[in-house]
Amino acid sequence: MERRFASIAVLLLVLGYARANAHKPITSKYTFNQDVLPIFHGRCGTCHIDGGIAPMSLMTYRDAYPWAESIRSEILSGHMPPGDASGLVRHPASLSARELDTVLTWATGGTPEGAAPTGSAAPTVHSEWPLGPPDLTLTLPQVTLAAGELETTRVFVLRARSLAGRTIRAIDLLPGMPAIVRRAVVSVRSPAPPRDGSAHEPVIALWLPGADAARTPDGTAFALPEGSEIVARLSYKKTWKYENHEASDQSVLGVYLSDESARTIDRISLSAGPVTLEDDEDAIAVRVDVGRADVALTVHATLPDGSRTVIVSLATQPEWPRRFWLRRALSLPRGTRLEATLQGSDPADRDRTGIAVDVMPARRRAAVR
Amino acid sequence: MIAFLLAVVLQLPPLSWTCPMHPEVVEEAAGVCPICRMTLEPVRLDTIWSCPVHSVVGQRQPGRCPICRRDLVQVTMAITWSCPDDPTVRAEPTRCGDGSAAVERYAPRPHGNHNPQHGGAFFMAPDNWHHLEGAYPRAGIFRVYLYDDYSKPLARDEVRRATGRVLLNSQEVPFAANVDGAYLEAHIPPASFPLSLTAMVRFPTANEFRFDFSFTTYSDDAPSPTTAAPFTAPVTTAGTPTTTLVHELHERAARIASAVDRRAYSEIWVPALEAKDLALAVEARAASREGVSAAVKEIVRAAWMLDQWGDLGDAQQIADAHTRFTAAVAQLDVALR
Repeated sequence: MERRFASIAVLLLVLGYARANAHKPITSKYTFNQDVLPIFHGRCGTCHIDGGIAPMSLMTYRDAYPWAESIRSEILSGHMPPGDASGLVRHPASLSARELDTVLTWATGGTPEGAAPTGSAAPTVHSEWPLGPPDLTLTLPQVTLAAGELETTRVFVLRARSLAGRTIRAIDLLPGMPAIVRRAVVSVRSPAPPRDGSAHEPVIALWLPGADAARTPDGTAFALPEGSEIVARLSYKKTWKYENHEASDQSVLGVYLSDESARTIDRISLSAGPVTLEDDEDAIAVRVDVGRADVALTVHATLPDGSRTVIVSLATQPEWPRRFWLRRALSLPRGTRLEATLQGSDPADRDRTGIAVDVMPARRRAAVR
Repeated sequence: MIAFLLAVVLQLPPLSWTCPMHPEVVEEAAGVCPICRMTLEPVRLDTIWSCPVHSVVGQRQPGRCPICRRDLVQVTMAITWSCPDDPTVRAEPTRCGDGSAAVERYAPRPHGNHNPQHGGAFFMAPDNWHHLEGAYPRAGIFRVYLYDDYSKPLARDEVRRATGRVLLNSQEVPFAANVDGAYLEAHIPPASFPLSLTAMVRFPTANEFRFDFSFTTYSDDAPSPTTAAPFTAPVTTAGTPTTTLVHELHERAARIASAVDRRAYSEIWVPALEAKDLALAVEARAASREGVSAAVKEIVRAAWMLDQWGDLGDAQQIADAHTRFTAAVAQLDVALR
């Protein structure tokens, strides 16, 4: 017996690895560890991570491969990553054509694992300020979801006297328990009526898990007039992991201040229809918060010379109200017509509530006190 | 260790680990099933030549079915070894008690076989479990055969509980199970070839699904099944000029359009996947041009949709995906101008 296995051992040296791998119909040349994980890490890792807001992590092969069919369906339909948009906006979570192809090839081609990376354990969510330490922090009250309570929304009104009359470049949120903090909308409730005559409170920050935190462009800021209040509306939602557990969060708002000569940012709401600008403005962002899903939305500007620019084009996702920052401020001369069009056969699809363009005056102006 | 050496020497496919309850779970190491936590069992998977109808037939080389003389087709099967005197099923070949070699056995896997069994058109159902085949054996008779996830015919009482109807020329003809419960049959008005019709079928315990068929001739119940052309990636060497790549892309688009027109849905996936590879190669060369990346992404998306819906045979979904694909190719043309 021993002699026989000794000769087999010799043969092993000669033959090397046996045959092409036919153990699963693997047609994908991309493997998880080599090709797919870097994509998941870069595009999906803020939410689909242990302790993150998503119902499952995608950060290891064991976590990700059972979801291959779901992943295929969600990215093919464009539902994931959320906030895919084209036009002049920044969209860092958006998959490129090649990334889309890599993940689809892997998911439909047998989900091969590939050589496991050496060393590092699975990443977990980490809480740190993406824009660096804020100039001022405001700690919100603790919110507890009881066992069996799945979601809630709380509105906090903050009177920060030290901020009165200041200008703000960004407000960011650091969740205490990222797994349950779903959305935060931070707006300014000012004593004076808003510039464009709308009744809404101007939104300074629209925070989502995984969304791109950003300061306003250089030399611009949001105004916080004397007597204003900061209103933070937080939405909490549990995934299946925490359904029967009590879960508590204490989030912190971080405020990034600006110098006094910043240009203030105004919001032009398109909910009542197209708006024609009365002054020269620079468009810096578009906010989208619509109730209907999968409606093709385009926000465009028609300049006085007749030329038309598409600012943003996307399919609506009501679960993901979002502010899209433009890659570069867009100059819009006086007389430009801003419009949002929604394509849908159902009249309800064309409800424009919740579409706004953030602009700042093209000429420098003293900050509002 | 010995088993490993043996496997290497005898060139066996590597060990896979599968769940006895969830055969779609196939892992590379022992452990538990991610769905139900049962202990995984070892199995070796390989491509075996089998009869599209008689899955008990299995052999290592192509040939004809000894039962019905059909050409054998390639299916994925699990290989095990056993001896008459010992019921243990092994994942390696061994010697039996009487010195003879253990007998090699092949067992089918779910979705291992998408070959038509009655000469018709074979589709998977969108519930990712059932399969279905539509056949037109003679004038006025349209039959639908229902299968499970192993492409085995559903039991008679299941077939009798299935319902459906045929939509043809704005007429609706209901299905009725035949006496055996072997298939659902509809008597449709005879029409000339090519004959296009839509079948709406509700499997027991599932929703109603749509399948579109086009027949250019009568379905022959014992034909030699054609094997699909192997998918070969188009040549995209660094030296190929962008104009050639775009020309090749348009050629694939034409083939897809022809397949969609003729409802030859099994012919869509190869040119669709080739088209998206060509588009990606164009992007690698021309990404700096405005609009190219967005157009290529849309082509990639639409091509994968065509691949998916082509497998399921729903004409409406295929038409929608095809519209997206055509628009995306036009978008790329504009961007490259």
